[in-house]
Amino acid sequence: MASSPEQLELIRRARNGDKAAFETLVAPILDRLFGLAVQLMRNHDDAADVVQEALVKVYRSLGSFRGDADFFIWVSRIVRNTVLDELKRAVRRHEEPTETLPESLDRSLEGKAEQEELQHIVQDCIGQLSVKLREPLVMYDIEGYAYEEISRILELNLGTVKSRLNRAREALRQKLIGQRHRLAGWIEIPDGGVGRSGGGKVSNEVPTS
Amino acid sequence: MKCQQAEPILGRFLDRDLPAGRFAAVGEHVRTCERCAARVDELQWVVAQLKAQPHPKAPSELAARLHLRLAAEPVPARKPVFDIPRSLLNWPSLGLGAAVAAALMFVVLRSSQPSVGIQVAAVPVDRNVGVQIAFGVDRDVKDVTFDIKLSDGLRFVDAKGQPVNTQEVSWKGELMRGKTVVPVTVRGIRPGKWDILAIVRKNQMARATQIIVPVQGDTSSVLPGGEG
Ligand SMILES: [Zn+2]
Repeated sequence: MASSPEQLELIRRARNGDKAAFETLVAPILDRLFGLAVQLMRNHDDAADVVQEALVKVYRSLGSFRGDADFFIWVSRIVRNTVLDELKRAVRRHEEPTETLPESLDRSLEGKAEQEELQHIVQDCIGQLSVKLREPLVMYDIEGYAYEEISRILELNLGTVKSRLNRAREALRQKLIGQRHRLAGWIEIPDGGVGRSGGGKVSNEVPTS
Repeated sequence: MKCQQAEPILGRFLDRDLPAGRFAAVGEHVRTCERCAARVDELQWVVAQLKAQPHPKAPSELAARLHLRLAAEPVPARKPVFDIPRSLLNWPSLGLGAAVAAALMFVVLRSSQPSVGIQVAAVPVDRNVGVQIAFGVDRDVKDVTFDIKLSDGLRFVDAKGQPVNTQEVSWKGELMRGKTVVPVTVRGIRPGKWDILAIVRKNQMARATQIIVPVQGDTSSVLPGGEG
């Protein structure tokens, strides 16, 4: 998918130094970029810093943006690369990344304690995945990027994206099963595994056709 | 189909991302295999949990902070909007290279001007020289062909700063209004009066600029940071 004519016009103006045009251009994608950074970094403050840093890079390199590319995907790739740089730097500084994520994730969920707790556990488990597996998982299953988009952002071929996604889901499944004791209070777990019924809400419509 | 074959593709089965035949085969297996059926249920549950994760909003101060950061930014560099052969035009890596003669040249092509020849200060042999060729136009020009030719004693330099056996590079792109700077790194491989010919072509029209680069055999005037 290419950029829209409106985007291209804003890009043209921003290239000439029109910063308001640039801010208009990125405003609608700010939340999604932030979401991506949060999921990859597991920390809200770091994610905000990284998105800001990445967008300054985007502004500086507008001159090399190709008009036939999808602006959002191009920017996503810069955000992701900035995240990787930051994670590497954090490792060099021997920092332990991570606050525990979900607390501030969404105020609208206040009161739904059980669901929050479940999200908390899922986020914990995602945080335990390697970056390599985490990337396609959060991009596809949480942030809603298409396979092809992920393949362009991560600069991997489609087959690799799919197989990593598969491995990531499998790893997450095993981790969540390992957390059954935490889930047990409110999700009924039959012997075969988690989520046959109860809070897990699994319908059986899938494999029949 | 056996469990072994089914297991690695259960995720793709869930996404219905399998050819019809294999999709049917996995479906058949899952119907008869309790273990794989349970696995599919679990994976489906996992995916449902992921899809149900909340999407945080960017903090409101992010836009404000970005606004402040941008205020300090100059107009974005007018990098060429074409794919330059990166291996040959490697200005950005020059700062890292050790042997760079500080001979920068600006050649501005204006459509009203005839071809010009510009001579730069002599550079020592076997040293990388950064040359910035600026193409200036007063409106956007699409479908332009760029061509840079080196005469006998000059070579392009690769990303590692080593000379490559190429003396001509050409590519298509567009010129944006204002000045587009194309950074090129070359090296004089033997003494002589050599030149760089930069040509920009649009349809039947062309502008050529000649940059004369005298290369000296005497390297006694070593530049700071130079290596032999
Ligand atoms: Zn089976």
